[in-house]
Amino acid sequence: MNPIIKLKNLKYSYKKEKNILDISDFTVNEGEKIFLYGPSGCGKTTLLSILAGIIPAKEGSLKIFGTEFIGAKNSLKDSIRGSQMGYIFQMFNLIPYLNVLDNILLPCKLNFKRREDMDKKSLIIKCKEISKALNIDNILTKKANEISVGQQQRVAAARALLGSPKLIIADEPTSSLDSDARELFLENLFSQCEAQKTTLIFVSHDKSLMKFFPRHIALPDINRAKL
Amino acid sequence: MIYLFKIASQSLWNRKISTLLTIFSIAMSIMLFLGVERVRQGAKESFSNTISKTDLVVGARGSEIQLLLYTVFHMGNATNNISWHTYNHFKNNSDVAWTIPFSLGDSYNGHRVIATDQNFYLHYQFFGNKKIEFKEGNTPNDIYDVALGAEMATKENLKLGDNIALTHGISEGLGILIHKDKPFTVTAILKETGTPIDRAAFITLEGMEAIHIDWQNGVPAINKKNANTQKIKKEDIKIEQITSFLIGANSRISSLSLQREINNYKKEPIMGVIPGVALSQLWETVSYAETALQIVSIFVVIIGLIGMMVSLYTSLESRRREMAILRAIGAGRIVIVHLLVAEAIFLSFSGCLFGVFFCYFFVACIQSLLLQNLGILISLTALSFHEYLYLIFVVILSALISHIPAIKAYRNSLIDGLSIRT
Ligand SMILES: Nc1ncnc2c1ncn2[C@@H]1O[C@H](COP(=O)(O)OP(=O)(O)O)[C@@H](O)[C@H]1O
Ligand SMILES: [Mg+2]
Repeated sequence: MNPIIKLKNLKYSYKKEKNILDISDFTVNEGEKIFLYGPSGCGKTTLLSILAGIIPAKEGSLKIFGTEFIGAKNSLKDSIRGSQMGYIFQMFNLIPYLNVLDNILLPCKLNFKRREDMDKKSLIIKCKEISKALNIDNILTKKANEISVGQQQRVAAARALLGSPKLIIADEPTSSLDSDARELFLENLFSQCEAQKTTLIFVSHDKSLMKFFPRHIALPDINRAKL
Repeated sequence: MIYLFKIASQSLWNRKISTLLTIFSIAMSIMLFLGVERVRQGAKESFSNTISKTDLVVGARGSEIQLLLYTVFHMGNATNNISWHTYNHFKNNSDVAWTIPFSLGDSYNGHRVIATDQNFYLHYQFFGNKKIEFKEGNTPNDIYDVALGAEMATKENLKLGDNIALTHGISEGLGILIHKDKPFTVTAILKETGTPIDRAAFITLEGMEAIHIDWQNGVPAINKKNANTQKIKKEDIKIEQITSFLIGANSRISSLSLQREINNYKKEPIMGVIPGVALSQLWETVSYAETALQIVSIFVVIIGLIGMMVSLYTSLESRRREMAILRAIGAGRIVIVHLLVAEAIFLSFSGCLFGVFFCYFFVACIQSLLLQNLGILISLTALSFHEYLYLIFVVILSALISHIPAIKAYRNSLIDGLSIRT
């Protein structure tokens, strides 16, 4: 098994006094689908921000795709995130002034590495393929604020998937959806991840979704920091 | 970077009103800046073109600028007159091609009355080689004939055949001493020149002498009745003095020796001034105002740019979400900073573009107004190389100061991480 994330003795605090995260060991292997849960405020989003390389942890070791993130240059982390990761927020995932298609293409346009060898044409073909699978191919020309929340989340998923990233991180992507839409969304996301052999870290406090995932992690169980 | 410009423009378009207001305020400041420059150039041009093809201005010894002011710009007064004899002495000099004598001192409703002779209409030139032309009537010839400048005729509502009484001395409105007994008849109205000539009236040298006959020491004779003044014949009048005169020399070189001769003239303290030299001296004295105006307009541009920076800065609060999304999809510091810098460049560039457009529009609108009221001709010339440089500098400056909101945007995104803030 090839580890995508290898985390050891990671400590993180926003302000100096008190650790929010203190995790001794956490590893994610390639192709895994992980359900990460825990009560609100336990540090889930903070952990994801560290994994994505947006906020820097100073203590411990964090290897993402084999690259040490602790102490790494911001530009390196930005570039790895841009080219190898997809991120889905809980809501308001889209840039309001771009249309749906431009929103989906944005990561590939900002990061040359993410486009791999695709030229503009094949990029758009690939984008249409994913959009069709997620059933949003009929709204590509609409503005981001003209579509429903469910559609917005699927657009965000399409954006995260395009360019075949190795890792998709989703921070409560279904909490703004109703239960039917949730399962549909999850099904779509799964089939796309499997098609691309993408690793998925899925955060939710909704335990009814747990059953779809082979591996579950309760953050308070691995986090030694007491909140 | 090109793609960032596309995103930046769409982001700005998303905030239409604030974007348009920002562009408008930059455009107004650029318009003011370019407008001031244009008015300044126009003023300088009109100013230095008030008199041309004249080699020397001759008058009583004193301040050169003052001589130029009262002879050419009809401002201020002469300290001393020069004698008719001296005038004739130089008029008959073999190096002299032509002369124009001026006798000053009277006015009409604040308009200068200038006594001169036919040479004025034959030889006076301005704006290169333009000469005085008549809109109506002919050269004043009789003692009580007067020719009016175009603007004066319109302002005072005078037409051919009207009679006017001149005021002794120069005062606004009606003076104390009015030459009521010797009214002048309007026999000509001059075409517009865009020079102080438009605001003056022109009579003959004999006319000037005639209205002051019987005067002693600058006041009218009290006891004498002026019954016969209307019957004075032109031939009978002897001209004693004039105020100043212009010389056209046969050649540029001879004008220098003429000047030396005039300045060394023993019989009377007179001096000769080369108009171009005195004009640039005079312009230097007003150039303080010019510089001040320029500095003010530069500050206005800077304030316009600061306004742009403030508007970008305040927009950041509502754009934290947008920045978090951009960060999440891999945008690093450089992308975030470049996005905001691109927005600033877009704003300032459009501002400059509209500013140039507004400036031309504005100049086209006020062109005739300025020409009529101030005698300043502003031409719609293309931007100078320097002005292009200024505009490029404005865009560069905007890119520089937009780093303040840009860095703030990046800092915000570090604080927010990937947590949701709305
Ligand atoms: N930017 C921040 N600055 C300081 N404290 C923060 C910041 N973001 C989150 N926190 C704190 O860190 C803790 C974990 O937050 P978070 O990771 O968002 O939890 P979760 O996603 O599990 O709800 C909370 O106590 C929260 O108040
Ligand atoms: Mg959270």
